[in-house]
Amino acid sequence: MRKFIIKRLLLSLVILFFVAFIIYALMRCLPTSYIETIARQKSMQPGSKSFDEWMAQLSATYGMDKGIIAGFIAWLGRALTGDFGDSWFYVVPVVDKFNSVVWLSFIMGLIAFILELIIAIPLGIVAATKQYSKADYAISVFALAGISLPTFFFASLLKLVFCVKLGWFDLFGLIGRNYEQLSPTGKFLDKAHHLVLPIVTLVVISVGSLMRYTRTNMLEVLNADYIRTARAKGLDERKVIYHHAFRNTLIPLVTMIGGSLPGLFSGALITETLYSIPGIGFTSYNAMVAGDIPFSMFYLVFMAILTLLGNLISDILYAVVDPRVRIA
Amino acid sequence: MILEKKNVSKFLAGVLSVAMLAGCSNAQPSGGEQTDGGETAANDTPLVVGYSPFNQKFSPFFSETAYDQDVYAMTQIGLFNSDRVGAPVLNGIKGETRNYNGTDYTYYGPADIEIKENSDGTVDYNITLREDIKFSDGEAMTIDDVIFSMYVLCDPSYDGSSSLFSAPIEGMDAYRSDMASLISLLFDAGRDNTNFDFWDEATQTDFWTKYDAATKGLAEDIVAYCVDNGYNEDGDIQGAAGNWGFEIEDNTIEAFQAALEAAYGSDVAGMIGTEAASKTVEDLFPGLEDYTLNMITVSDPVTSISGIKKTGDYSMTVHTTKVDATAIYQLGVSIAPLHYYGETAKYDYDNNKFGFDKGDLSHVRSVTTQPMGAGPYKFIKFENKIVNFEANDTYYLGAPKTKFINFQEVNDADKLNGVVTGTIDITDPSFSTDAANAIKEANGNDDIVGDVITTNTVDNLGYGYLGIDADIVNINGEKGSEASKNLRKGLATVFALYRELTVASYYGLDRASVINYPISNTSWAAPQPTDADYKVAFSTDVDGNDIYTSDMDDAAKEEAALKAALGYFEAAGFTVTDGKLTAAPDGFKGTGANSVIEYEAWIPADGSGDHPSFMLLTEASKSFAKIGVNLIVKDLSNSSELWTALEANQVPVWCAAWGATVDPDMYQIYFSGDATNAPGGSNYMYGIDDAELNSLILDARASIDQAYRKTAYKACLDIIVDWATEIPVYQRQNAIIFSTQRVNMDTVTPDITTFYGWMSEIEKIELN
Repeated sequence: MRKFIIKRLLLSLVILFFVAFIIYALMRCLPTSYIETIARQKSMQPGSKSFDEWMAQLSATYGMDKGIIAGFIAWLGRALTGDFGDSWFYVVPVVDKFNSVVWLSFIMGLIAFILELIIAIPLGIVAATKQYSKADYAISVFALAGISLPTFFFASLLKLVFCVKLGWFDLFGLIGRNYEQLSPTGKFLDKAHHLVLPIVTLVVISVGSLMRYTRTNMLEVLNADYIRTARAKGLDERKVIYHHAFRNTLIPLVTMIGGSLPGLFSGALITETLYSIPGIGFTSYNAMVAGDIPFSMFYLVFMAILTLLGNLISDILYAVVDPRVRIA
Repeated sequence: MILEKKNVSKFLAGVLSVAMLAGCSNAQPSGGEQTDGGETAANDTPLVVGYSPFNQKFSPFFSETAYDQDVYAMTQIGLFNSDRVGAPVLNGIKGETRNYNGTDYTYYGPADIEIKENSDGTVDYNITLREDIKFSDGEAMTIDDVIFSMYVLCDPSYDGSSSLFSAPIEGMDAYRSDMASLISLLFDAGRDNTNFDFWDEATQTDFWTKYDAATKGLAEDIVAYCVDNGYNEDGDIQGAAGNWGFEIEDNTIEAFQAALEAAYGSDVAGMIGTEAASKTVEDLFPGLEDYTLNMITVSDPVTSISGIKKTGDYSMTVHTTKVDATAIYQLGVSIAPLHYYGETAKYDYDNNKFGFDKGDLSHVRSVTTQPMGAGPYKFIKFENKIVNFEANDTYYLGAPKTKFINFQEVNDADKLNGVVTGTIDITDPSFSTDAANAIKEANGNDDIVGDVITTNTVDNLGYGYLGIDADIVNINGEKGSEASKNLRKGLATVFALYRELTVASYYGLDRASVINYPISNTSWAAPQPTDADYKVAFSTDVDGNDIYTSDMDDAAKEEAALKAALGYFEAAGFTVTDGKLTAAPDGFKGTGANSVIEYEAWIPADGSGDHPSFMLLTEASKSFAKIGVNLIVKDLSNSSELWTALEANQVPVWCAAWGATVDPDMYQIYFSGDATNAPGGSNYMYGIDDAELNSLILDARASIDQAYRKTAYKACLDIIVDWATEIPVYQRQNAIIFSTQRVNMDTVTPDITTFYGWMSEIEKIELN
């Protein structure tokens, strides 16, 4: 097991290097770079230097005058010492900006994820055990509806019903207008109040797929021979389902959960934009669209690390949960 | 399993009824959420303003976007304020009363500015500051703060958006240029320089070696490219250089190098960037930044600007070398606190120290995200997409009535609903027909002013236009000839026909209007329809007769426009047979494969046709096809392509909009340069090159008499319209909406204009 992990980690480092390089090259190849936009704006001011002069000065300041490979090596050199530079778009250091926005997205994602699990897994089991019943159809329809709804549509619908018509929630934002005057408990509750609709949106959109996945796996397991044996042995139906079948369903589920770790940090771009939540999704989108290389590099490499880590954890958990699997 | 139909239908019926109920409910939303944590006192409730996203560059010196500027403007005061028509208020201490729209308003400012024209053509701006102003942290404001602010803006390393340094202040050029980059000094000193006061011989030799290697590498690169692509024979250096625009005497690489050096001098980055075929600065001159970014102070460094003189603890004078009407606007700097943005220890006026080391603005930059000043509000923090402000009780015009104000980032789509539901109180949605209808619906009285929302509309500071590049659309390369102008006028007449249609459909005629001169209606120099010589643009034919009569329907108007266009084309030398173009004059380069005239029209409409002028171009294209002109409408998905191509003079026709400045000075766009003055930065776009226009622009700039300038600018506008390089299309309105229920509308700034917004008297605003 240990050799396996070490081999995988080394392989991950190599993959990471290439991923980072590809990201950097792509950012450099964007049609209009960040500094071009700035240079153009500044050269349009009366009495200012020409566009070419501004480009030369800004290229040197931002390190874009080197070629792609040299630029990448320079970035890598600094990154390995922990210096990811200042964000061009947000002015402040990249790590600070990232730190200030990512935890909110993480918490939102975590809560949504836990709720999804609590709702989807029991529903999936019920749908599988009572296949072709009313319950099964109702749950499947609900799941399909959830998957099919686009985020922006569903979020707008929720806002229309709960904010405009009923007035139960603020239309957008993380905090209300009186936030500063509240006590610490009040502040916490204010934020929680504002996060209700975004989390509901996230849960409804993604609960469907998890539920169907559970149902499918459960059905497969329920048709297996050993379940028939268990029933033939005269075991209680509940024990058959929850003790034997469910455990086997858990195997692919657990690996899937392990692999969704990066998803918690990537934020939900559309939901955050629509509800004006200052999360990492919206922040990173704006940075990337503007061509902010330091921020994008840090964020995308961070995501790559998490993805590789997630895959590794999935594989390890698979071995842990399923005694039939042995890692060579 | 049998599905019981009855149960299913009952279930469906239930769902449908619930859905209908949800739709019918119109319970009034409660304004603002009262969460656990206690009551807030009535006057502690923050006023919330909805804004577009901030870049966090909240500095009076370095902000870039309009929204960031609004944030710092809450915390700062400017040296003088403008009135409702954009004219400066120069007697701020006692105040000036001016009439607007039938009401007398008194305007105040922190200073009095006296403009004195001297007999030798120079101008003195004598500034006297109020003596009782305090910054929000309690420190008193003195003239030192003003001087500090001006020096920051004039520093050679300043790269923000103010252009105070371009005002003709005495001693400005000397101050800014005494610190030069190492490369320019080395180059000016020459290869044979023996003065090693500022660098050593090794550096000099090293530089010239690198420079020669760079020019050699570049010359070889160009020759190799020409040979590889078959333009020249191997060894034909002269030919290759000639292809690149360099005439050289000898057929040697050295001669080519010398030509490059003569053309570009110390601008290595520009030389390689523009001329290289395949190499980059990295390839040819590695380490160039050691020479370009290395700023060296030359002998006898100039440590002060002679035209900025302190005359007392609360007074100073700015001395300019010539009369420039725009200079007063540049002087309206924000008075930033020396002790916060600079370092008091480094300020000593008599010894030419102004609060920072010259060329080093790092201390000023370090507080970019936290502005502080003498304005009506204090900046507390920017967190969770909200900027929190608290009232500055020592504000010189009186303590603000509303204690807390929040600027909240909002999506444009949510702005209107945000005001209706109570999440925000004031905001500026984009004012389209849909928005106007939604406001009327919310008010319930079919008006944009009502019990729920009060809307204020002002003209946008800028206008939309259609541009024609005279450098491309001309006859025989003579862009100013009558023939070329007639060619463009022919095109312009058809374009101008569809302006009203396009404005009405995109904005609606009560939110935008068609304009006839290339100037925003907000400017005092804009001709008014009531003026005697006001002409509708491009509505006459080549003989000067009006082509439209009031009883024409759309089809008749189109016919009249096409007939007039053909008249112009004929006058330009084209042959017209049976109402269509059949032949072009000699030297005309715009002939297409299947039509006598063929041009592309570029429009930055995101590839989906979402642009006010999109309909204009498509309709014009259909009309043009009837007379043998092929107008190809090119919808760009990436609008920045347009700007790059415009710089390269590759766009014959395009649509865009100008943002205007307070002063109608036309130098930037229409001045084409003369012996002593460089062309305006944007002159390349239209390519106008008219000597009379140039001299009118310079004259108008050099006078402070508004009546004289207005006449001069009218003459300029007539010339510009005659050149037919710009078809003015629309002037739209911006809207600010207030929540009538929550904001006390009696306390909002009355008579809001483009130049005097609701924030101009923000200290008076109160919530209900």
